[in-house]
Amino acid sequence: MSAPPQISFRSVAKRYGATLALKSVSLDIAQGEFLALVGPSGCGKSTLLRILAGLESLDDGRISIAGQDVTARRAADRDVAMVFQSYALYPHLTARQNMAVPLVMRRMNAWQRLPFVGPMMPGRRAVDAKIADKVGSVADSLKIAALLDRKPGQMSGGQRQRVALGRAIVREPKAFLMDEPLSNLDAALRVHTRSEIVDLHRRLGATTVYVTHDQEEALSMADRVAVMKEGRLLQVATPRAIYDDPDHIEVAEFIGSPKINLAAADVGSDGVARLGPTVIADGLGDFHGSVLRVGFRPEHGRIGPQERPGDGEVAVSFSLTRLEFLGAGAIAHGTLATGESVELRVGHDFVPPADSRVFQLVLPIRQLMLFAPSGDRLRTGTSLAAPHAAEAMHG
Amino acid sequence: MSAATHLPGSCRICRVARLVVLGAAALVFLMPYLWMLSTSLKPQSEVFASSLSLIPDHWSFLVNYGKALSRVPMGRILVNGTVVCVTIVAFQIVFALPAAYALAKLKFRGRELLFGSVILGLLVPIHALSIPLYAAAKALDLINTLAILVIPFVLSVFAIFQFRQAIKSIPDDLIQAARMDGMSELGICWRVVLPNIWPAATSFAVFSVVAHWNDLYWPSVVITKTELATPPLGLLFFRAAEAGDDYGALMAATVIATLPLILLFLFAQKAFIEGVTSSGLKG
Ligand SMILES: Nc1ncnc2c1ncn2[C@@H]1O[C@H](COP(=O)(O)OP(=O)(O)OP(=O)(O)O)[C@@H](O)[C@H]1O
Ligand SMILES: [Mg+2]
Repeated sequence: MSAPPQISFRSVAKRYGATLALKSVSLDIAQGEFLALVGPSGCGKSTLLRILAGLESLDDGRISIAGQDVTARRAADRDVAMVFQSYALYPHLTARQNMAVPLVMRRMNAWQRLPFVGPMMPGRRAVDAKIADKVGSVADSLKIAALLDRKPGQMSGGQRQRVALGRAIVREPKAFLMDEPLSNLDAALRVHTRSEIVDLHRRLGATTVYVTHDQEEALSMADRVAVMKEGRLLQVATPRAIYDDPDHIEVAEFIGSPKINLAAADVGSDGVARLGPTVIADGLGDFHGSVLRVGFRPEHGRIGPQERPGDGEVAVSFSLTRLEFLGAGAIAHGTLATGESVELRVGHDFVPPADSRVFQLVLPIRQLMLFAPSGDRLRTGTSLAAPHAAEAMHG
Repeated sequence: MSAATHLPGSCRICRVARLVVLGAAALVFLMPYLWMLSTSLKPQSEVFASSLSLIPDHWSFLVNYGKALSRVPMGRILVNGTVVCVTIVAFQIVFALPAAYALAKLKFRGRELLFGSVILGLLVPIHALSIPLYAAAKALDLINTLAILVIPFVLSVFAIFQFRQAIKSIPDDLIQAARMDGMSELGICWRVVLPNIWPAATSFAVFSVVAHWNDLYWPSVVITKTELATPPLGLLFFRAAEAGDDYGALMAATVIATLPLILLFLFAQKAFIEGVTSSGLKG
């Protein structure tokens, strides 16, 4: 990143009593970037977002927005907008009034905001007209113009979510912060709204931090994904890199559905790791005697009674226990010869023969990911495991 | 009652029986008021007549109400009551709302201790404080002023307690959304919290107005002038000074003193129910 970051966290730490909700988080987010923050429940995603918003104090570290240190600024002065999971619309105001609130608070002076006498203050009418224009045009763009005179209690969840988005958009903030904005919607609406938010981001080009616990949402929407675990950032990278090239076993396990398959690989005295009898990596003398973990994605193996490993491939025995048909394809559940249960994506046409439940599972070695006992990804010395390394060799 | 509102399985006789029982109970509770109304319309001779009758034989509406309105400055007394009650309620809400908001939603050291002392304050009756309050009022030369009828009550621990409970049910997200929208903490109190605890505020206001309108104790301690009396004290003066045992006139004065409360109640009941049904805290 060459341009200065729009949002920057520097060693941010947060403690709730005895629990460390955030442990020295540092993260830069570029102007216009869509960053998804994912992680299991309780990992500190919301805490990080709320600290950025100014809704929560921090115990250590600094935060800057658009080049300005905002660590000590209150929420109202940070010029960021937040969309809440619960929508947090004002129940006593109509959609129109809800969307106007941030503008009323920013563009009117205290006298003009007064009840009863406010409307008679000089200049109030001009501000009113501008606010009404802005609310109207945002409502049109979100297709909620027809709802503007309803109160939140008279709207569906999806409609409320749009109004909440509208309330954030009218302000033209420096950044949008969204905390699981879709998780109260039903599945179909969620997918729909997901693409709407992406479109919106493309149109407005505003920096967006999007918290979700749904890895699919993160992969499909974001420019970059930050994976969190227990108050730490495990990895921040593009969705593709997060999926194909995770830095840590936790990232690999959290991202992808079905989950990544993991098998044990012993490291011999020669520093070579083997999956079954096949060598999958070498130069691992440091790990002699310990058990490494080999990961492979469900879509990366081929199974069949006749499959034979080719060049750069490894074969292990796989016994099928159940075939889960999904329509376009299926998921084969089974166990490896080494005992680990695995799930594999197979094609629509895959029909296991009646007489045999045991297959050869063939895996390309360059798709395998090797993890140290600590969980860290092993790339050095694993001449065969890293996809980039393998590609470079082939190319 | 339309057919649609009947509970399933309720027979006609049960319905009639229920109505009769409820009607009778309502009548029992209304009886003193009806008697008051009836007496206020009777001439002196009929008040103690041995035949119990609600309808007077001779109407002396003009005589009784005329006395009630002329012998004490009844209009002035009603205005006193209204001014005192409205001022008390306004101050109580102005002071209690921010305090309750802070106790319910802000984090600060000593919050629980502070709330504990609020609860403790609930337990102290006005009677226990009346001597020091009287001494203070005397020292400040506030005896026989409307101000001293208001000042001891502007801080209501009951309001703080009741509002805090109501504010607790407002989602934190809503408060935080308001902060992000640029409201100050006081702005949040008036623009977000008050509209969302409107039912609690209304019911507190009704409670407070009724209590202070009907209060006889504190006014009788600090007020000795008829023109500064609140309605119950006014009745006392009326009875002591002018009416003697003229119960017809006394009851007429009582009707006049109670009427504003009854009107307020009918009005507030409507607002109260509207408040409950229209601004329920959803999503
Ligand atoms: N107000 C609070 N008081 C005490 N502990 C808190 C508070 N808020 C959060 N925590 C703790 O901080 C940790 C992180 O919480 P946070 O809400 O950030 O999680 P999250 O990643 O958003 O989870 P979820 O996906 O469930 O929303 C949790 O262990 C939580 O229990
Ligand atoms: Mg959360």
